[in-house]
This record gives sequence, C-alpha cells and structure tokens, in this order.
Amino acid sequence: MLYDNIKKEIGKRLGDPFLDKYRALVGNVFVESLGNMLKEDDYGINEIESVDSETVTNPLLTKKTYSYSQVGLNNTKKFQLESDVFIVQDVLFGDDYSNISPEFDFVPTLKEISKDTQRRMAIEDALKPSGYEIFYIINNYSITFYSSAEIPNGKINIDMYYFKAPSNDEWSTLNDGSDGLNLETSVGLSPQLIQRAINRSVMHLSGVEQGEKE
Amino acid sequence: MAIMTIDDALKQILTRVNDPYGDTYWLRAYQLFFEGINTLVQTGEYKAEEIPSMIKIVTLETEDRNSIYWSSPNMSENDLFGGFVIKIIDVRDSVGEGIVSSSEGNRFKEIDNDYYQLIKFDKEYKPLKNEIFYMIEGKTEGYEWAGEPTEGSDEPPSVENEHKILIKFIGTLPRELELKYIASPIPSKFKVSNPAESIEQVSPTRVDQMFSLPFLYKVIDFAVQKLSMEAFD
Repeated sequence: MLYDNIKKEIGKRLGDPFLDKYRALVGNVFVESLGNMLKEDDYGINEIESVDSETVTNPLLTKKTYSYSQVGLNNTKKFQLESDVFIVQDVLFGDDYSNISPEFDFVPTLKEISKDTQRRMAIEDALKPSGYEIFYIINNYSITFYSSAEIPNGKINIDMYYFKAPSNDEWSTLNDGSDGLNLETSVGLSPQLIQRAINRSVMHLSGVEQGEKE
Repeated sequence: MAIMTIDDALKQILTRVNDPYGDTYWLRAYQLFFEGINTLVQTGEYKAEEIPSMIKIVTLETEDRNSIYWSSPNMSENDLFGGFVIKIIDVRDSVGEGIVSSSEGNRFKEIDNDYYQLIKFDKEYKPLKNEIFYMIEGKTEGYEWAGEPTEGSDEPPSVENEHKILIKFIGTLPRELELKYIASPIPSKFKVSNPAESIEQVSPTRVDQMFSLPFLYKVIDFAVQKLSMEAFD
C-alpha cells in the first residue's frame, strides 16, 4: 500500500477525501499510531518483515551487528546503541556463533541480565558468566556484553534486531521518489497491520475533532 | 418569442426605458447589454448551461514546464471588454470524448498565496503524488506600467502581451492539460442594427442560441435598471 494511499484512506474515513482539513496531520498521526502499536505489542512478529528479507529495501525491523574479539578488559564490551533504535526486538548470535549451525565444538549461550544482576556480578563471582555464556544488558542507550573467560579467542558477532521508530520524515522523503513508497513491499508491513494503524489514526483524529467541538 | 436576436434584446431594453426607436439610448443599451453579460457572469449569477458559447476549453501542451503563460485566443479583438478571460473555471487532466476512462489521473487544486506560504512553512501541506496545485498569477515579465511601451520599443505593448496570464504549478504535470475558462463575448462579432448609422441588419445575430432566455432576461433587467438610474441622474 502506497504511503499516499494510506493518507487518502485516512482522509476518506474522516469524510475528508481531498485532505483539505487533515493533510498536514495524517502522516504524523499514522506513524504515531504505528509506533504505539509496536510499543504495546499490538502486532504479530510475522506481520513485519525483517531486514533479512531480500525484498524489503527500507525495513522497519532492522539489525545491527556488534563484532568484537575476546580481548577486552574483564571480558566486557560496551557499545553505544544506534541513534534510530526504538524497540529492541531480539539479540542473538550471528554468523559462526549462530546456534543453528555452530562451526565450533561448543555451543555458546546468550542471556539478558537485569540491572540488579549486573551490579551483583561485580562482587559475586558466582553470578559472572561461566562456560560458554555471554551476558548482555541494554541500558543508558548502550548495550554491554559480559563474556565468560572460557570462550576461545576469536571474533564474536552478535546481531541486535530492533524496530526503528516509524518516521514520517523518512517515509515522506522516500515517497518523493518516482514510484512512491510502498509500505508493504519496501518497509515490510503486512496489509492487516497497516489497516489497524489506519483505524487507530482515524480514531485518534476523530477524537481530536470531537475535542474541538467540546 | 421563439427567436431572440440582439436587435430584439436591445428593443426590449429600449422599450422599457421609453425609447422604443432608440433615438436616445441605443448606444448605451448596446453597451449595457454586453456589460450585463460580463457582470452577471463575473458575479456568478449564471449556470454553465446558460452560457455555452462563453465557456471555452483549450488543451495546453505542458512540455515539461511547471508554469504556463497563456492568453485566450482572439485577444486582439479588443473592444468593450471583448475576448478577455473573465475567469478560469477549471484546470484538469484532459477529458477524452465519449466514455471517460476511469484510470487514475491527476487532481488539480487551485491554491492562493496563503496556502503557498503554508507549503513553504510546513512541507506536510504539499501535494500528494497525483495531485497538482496551481496558482493563477498576474504578469511576471517586464517591469513596465500597464500600457507602457516595452523597453527599447516605441510601440505600446500588444494586447496579447498585456493580458498573458501566468499559471504556476506545484507538482508533476502531465504531458497535456485542459483549461476551461469563460471568455467575454466580442461585440464586433455580433451583427446588430444601429439606428444612429441607419444600418438595418437583415439577419441580426441570434442571442438565444448562445444564452438561455432566463439569462438574457436577467441581462435585459440589468441594462434597464442601469439605464433608468442613469436617466434619472
């Protein structure tokens, strides 16, 4: 569904087919509605294609690969998160450390820890990663990995899948291209997800109008 | 009255102001007849089907431009407001004859300067993909005053040059578009009997073919009212 058609659809449902009244609002309200749906987990994971799909060119569900070698101080490595991270969807091993087809003779484990565990790890050795464990924690706009000292030296690749915040600015710029922006094929959103976001947008905007009347 | 010629219309005006032979008011009635048509149309007191011969549709080749200079044809027939554009009614995609294709096209929307400023202020107001906004502008070439010869010339500017209308577009234009406008009637094109010059037309121009009778009676009313006021003064 083209981005322009989504705007037109919202306008139609609001009784404003030419968008004379809501033109400047529909884009931002749509991305706000979609963002709220992601935040509220109002989506099925199969409704959003990831960056791994060959057809999606501007995925909402994208990934960042963190690569590091086992030489860091205290086997700890900290990375700043990407500026466009909205919701972290999954963190998992990439490449050779993938649990699917490990090429090494060990199976590493990746585990998210809480802030409390992170603090206690400093004083309780029993809580530190052992064997082939790697712990991670995401806070303060960064991701920190704690690796077990027993993991053999070598490059570790960890993929973080995350949702970018839906951006009206970005989509409008992409939409300016000759073919327009198709949110199904280019961004990877399912038609049903788009329809639900349209519904939310309409409810939101009609609520704004109702508020104006009152 | 099955047929109404321009002579009949003028006779009605003159009869109502007690000058049935047109000895006094013929020329003024003649002027007011055309003034009435222009005024009624300009003030919106008409339906399109009442003035079919004044509504013109031209197809313009856009040639990948985003602005068009345009003046109505027969501009040089310049007497008594003749031939000028009263208003541009529509700018649109070309509409084919017969069954109109239902395929998607462009929507044209006229905007004013306020809206243009709004687009500049907030790009969210810009046209969507198959929308084209347009502004009907004045003349933008040259700095001469109206009627002043153009630089390096002693000749007054041509009527075509003076009355070119600039239409600016925001959006991607199709290869050609249609412009629908209302043009003033050209008085010199009408065959009329002038008592002052003892010209008796054998077949004066039929005005009932170009205007509906109700519209003509509104024009006659307009002329009579004006004449009465002027005579009273």
